[in-house]
Amino acid sequence: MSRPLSPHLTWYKPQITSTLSILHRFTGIVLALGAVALSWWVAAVAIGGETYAGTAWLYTSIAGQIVLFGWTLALAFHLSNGIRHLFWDAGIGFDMPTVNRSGIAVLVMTALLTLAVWLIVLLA
Amino acid sequence: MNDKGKNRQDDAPAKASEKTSAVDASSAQKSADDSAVDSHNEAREKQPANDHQDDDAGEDGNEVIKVERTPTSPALLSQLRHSNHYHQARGLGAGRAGAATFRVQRLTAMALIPLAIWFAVSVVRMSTASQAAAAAWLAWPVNAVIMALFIVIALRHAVIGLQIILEDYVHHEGLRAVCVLVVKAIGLLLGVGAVAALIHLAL
Repeated sequence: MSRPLSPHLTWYKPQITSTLSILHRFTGIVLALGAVALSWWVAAVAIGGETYAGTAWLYTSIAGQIVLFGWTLALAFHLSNGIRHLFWDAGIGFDMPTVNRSGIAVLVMTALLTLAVWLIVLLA
Repeated sequence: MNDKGKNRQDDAPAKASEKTSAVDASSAQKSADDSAVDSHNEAREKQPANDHQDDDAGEDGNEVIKVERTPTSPALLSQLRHSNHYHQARGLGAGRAGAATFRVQRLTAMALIPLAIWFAVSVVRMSTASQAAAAAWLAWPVNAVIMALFIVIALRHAVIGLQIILEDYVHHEGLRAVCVLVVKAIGLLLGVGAVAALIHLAL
């Protein structure tokens, strides 16, 4: 059957509502991949030896640190927007002006949380 | 008067055919001299009157119609349960397990709010640590327990989220089922593996 199935992503003009919604899914996938990396890191610590050395080398390399930064960014966004979703599930903030404002608040929160995490990491 | 009646008579068959009611058309022709509107009303009033046992029911507005409550016969229920239609319909539709998945996704989300903040700060810091330092840090029971909680709950949340995405975008039913199973298997493997590693470090 070739009837159109939702979501029709290509049909709509990008707006803050749809963009954040798509980003929520995208960051969710990124974080799921991060969960693989985290589980592997815990296992590598337990295994030790060359396995840990290789993992540590990969994670502390420039590429690894950039991925790690992107990952904290994704976490900060998914966390902020997830809280927004939980409010919606409780029936709060569902009118359009509030939805648009909370969307901007999510972006601000994302930037602040990411900055806070890296400031703590770099200063400590 | 005569002219009026003729005009109305001309109108009547058109109206009747619109309603596609044979009774309306015949009664309209019978009372050709009367106004067509009246004949319509008559037909409407007569039809339900034939089925009514109690003619006074319509006039007395305060009368309460009492219907005897009939319990569903168990024989009928078992007949339904053994019918093919029941087996075909069972498990389909909204009543499957959607609500449970929805609830688990929200509960894990709430649990992950404090866990994620703890995790983001501590693990990015630990990523540059030596193996001995990382092992010692993970061996501390509080860290081990919070880390185990975070990994298990995050994986549960991730598997549901990925399953929902797969259900949205993978349209082939068989392929979708395989993808969901693979995601669940990987999630389970990672969760058990990470917890086993944490136990190994703590001992």
